[in-house]
Amino acid sequence: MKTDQLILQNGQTAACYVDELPDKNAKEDYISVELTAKDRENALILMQRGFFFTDRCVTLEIPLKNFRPMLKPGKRFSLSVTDQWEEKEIFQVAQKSFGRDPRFALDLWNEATDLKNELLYHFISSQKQQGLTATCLRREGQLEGFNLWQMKDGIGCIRLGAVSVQYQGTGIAMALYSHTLNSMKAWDNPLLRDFIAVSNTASLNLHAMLARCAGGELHFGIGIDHYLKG
Amino acid sequence: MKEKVLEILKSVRQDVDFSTATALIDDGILDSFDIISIVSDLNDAFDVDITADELEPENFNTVDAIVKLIGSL
Repeated sequence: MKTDQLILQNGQTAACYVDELPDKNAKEDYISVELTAKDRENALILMQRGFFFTDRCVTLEIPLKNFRPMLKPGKRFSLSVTDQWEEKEIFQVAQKSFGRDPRFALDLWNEATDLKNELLYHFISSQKQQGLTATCLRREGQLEGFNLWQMKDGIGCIRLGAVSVQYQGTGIAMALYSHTLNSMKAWDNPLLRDFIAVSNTASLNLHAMLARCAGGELHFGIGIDHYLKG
Repeated sequence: MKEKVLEILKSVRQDVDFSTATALIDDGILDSFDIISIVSDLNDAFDVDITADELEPENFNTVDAIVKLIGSL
């Protein structure tokens, strides 16, 4: 990843990075910019320069000290935590999700699906290189859901999580996320800190329920707006 | 048991007429958050342990299906 800086109003710079897709057949590079939600001046400048607003993410924190997992997997499902996960297997489940995720939401372009999937695969590969842990939900050996997550100084972050299409909306994600959060309890005073798109009400609701399992504490942090330019 | 199940369902979603609904999941009337809330309340009320195995649409599409599920645990 090649980093760059975008100069904004009054000489300010935005966190800007230009991704170089590993695939030589990639259609085009893109530029991603993040701004704090209140930064309207620079948001206007970005729009004038051809950037698209994709979504707003909020920081969400749940102290996990008192977390109690909910929803056991049962007999047909299994849950495991591993560092030895396959990018392609994760991608197969992930590619049916994240159509509106600000990290991959490129549906403003005609070739949206192909490019979104390239970016998604690139993202999953980069998580593998960074040594992220995976929680895998399987049914009869078939991967039906996953969390890619990491712990750093007692702060856990789920970078990517999804369940297969047939189980979306069933509540089964609760078993998956519960298992991940319970695994995070191996650290002292663990805290979950996730970044969630405000349009992703399923994820917001899921985290509200996870907070309930942790004793009810849920903190929201600053909003970050994502802009993309192809 | 059915009255208690209805009471739990109503406490989660007051806007739904559960006595006549026949496809609560298939028609998207209940979302995942509703289901988990209902499962949590059913576990507490009937001292059962509903697992991921039971989160199939046919178990939650009607009040009678939920009653049948509770009875089978």
